[in-house]
Amino acid sequence: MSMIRKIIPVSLYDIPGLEGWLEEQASQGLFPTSLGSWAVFEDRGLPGTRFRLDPFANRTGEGLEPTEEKLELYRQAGWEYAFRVGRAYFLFYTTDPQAPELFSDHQSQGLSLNRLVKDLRSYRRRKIVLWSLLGVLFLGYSYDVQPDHFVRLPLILLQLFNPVLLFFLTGLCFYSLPIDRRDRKTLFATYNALKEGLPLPPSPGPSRRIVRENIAALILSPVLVPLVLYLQFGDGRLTTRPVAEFSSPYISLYDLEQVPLGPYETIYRNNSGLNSENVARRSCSLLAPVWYKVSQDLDALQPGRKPSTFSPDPHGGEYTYSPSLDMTYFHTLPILARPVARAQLDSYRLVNLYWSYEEVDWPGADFVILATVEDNPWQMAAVGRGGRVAVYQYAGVEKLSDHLDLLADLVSGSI
Amino acid sequence: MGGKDRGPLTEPMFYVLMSFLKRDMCGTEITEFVARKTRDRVRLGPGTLYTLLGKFQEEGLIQETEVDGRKRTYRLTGKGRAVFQEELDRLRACLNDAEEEI
Repeated sequence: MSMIRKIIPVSLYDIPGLEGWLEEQASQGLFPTSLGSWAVFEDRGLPGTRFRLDPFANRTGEGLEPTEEKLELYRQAGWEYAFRVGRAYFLFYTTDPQAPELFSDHQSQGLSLNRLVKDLRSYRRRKIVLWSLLGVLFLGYSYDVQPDHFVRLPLILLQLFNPVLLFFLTGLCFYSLPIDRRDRKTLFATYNALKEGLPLPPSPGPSRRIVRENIAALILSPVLVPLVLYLQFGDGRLTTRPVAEFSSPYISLYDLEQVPLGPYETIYRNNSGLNSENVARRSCSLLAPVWYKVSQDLDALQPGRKPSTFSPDPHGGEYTYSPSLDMTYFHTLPILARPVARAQLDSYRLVNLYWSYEEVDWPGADFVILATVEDNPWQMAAVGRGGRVAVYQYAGVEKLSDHLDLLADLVSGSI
Repeated sequence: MGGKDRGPLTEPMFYVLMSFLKRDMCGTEITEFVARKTRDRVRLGPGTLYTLLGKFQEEGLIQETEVDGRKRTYRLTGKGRAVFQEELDRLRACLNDAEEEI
């Protein structure tokens, strides 16, 4: 018995449309064995077969399969169970022209759709609650002593213009949402008509547009969804390189510091995993075609007995001096340069510290913003010129304000 | 919840409740009763019957009394009887109104 796959040309919520299409297939000798992303048929269909979609779990106690009582009642009336269609319907069929319709009046058919309609409404409510929760989380970050909830929006804007994400979101807005809306409209029109005792609204019938939508979903969903998830939440293996292999210009921590430094694994001759802290990662946005981050974390060549602090000789050399420099470079639209710099400064800001911001003039730069914390080794700086922006986060003994010439080199194009 | 709260019963609802007045019934017996009573004027589809049994059970108008394999038997509750009586009174009133005008 051969299997034939077909793209479904009607909405799953167009009950008479789907039933009619299945009956048309039966008249061509095809009998459905499953309906999902596509329809699968076997060549054992009989012309004249009637198919009916029976809304699933429309009664307390009914689970993923019809109850024995239902199967028996339907069988006695001449109807056989075929299979379940998603979490929406049970498909029944009959070849007996004398078998009564499953629903002998419109109101009871409307009642049988109660659960499906409730599910759709509850799905909509859940979506609203989820987006509201995300909004609350975004606005209510409770560990932040100096919150500015909207300053990071320019960074979010750049992230939204990631070509893959943008393609995905555009697809969602112009492809998925209209389909959801159309399906909801179809189901509610059917439900309301039946509850009023009116017959099922006429089906728009098979449509090439729905076929195209289903083909696009089949091809794009398995590729695009994992790719977006990986790009947003993945480990960045595709976009991350060790600093030593990174070719784009950046300010080296070696140039900023006065004391001789080396990577942890060179000094201590073991690999603690800290190597991963000296990495560069590229991002992609249509609004910032050049966008990368470089993280550097080095140790003094004169090691103390214990690792990691920002002071060169604390406690009589007991600890090793370990400065760090994180920087992000953007080449974006000039109009976005300053907001993006402020957003990146906020993203680098340690949320449990009170930061002071100061804007200084520097020849050749449109703006220079310095951020410091009283009695604390953490500092930040942002330098912008035209559409070029470099933002730094530093922890160590040097003062960034003493190295503005070096920091500004990156945006002046001299590196 | 009485008939006034839930609105008038549909014809299949009315006949399904009526089928329980004299004795407990299972699905097949209800279908046969309604067909016989209405001389085949009202023929209950299996989906209609199954949906109505579920609805009546949820609303406490009927309750399950016996499960024998695939066969489930139900009986009318006091509430179900009251709902049926309200609908009967309503229909009688309609009929009287009509007869006065003829």
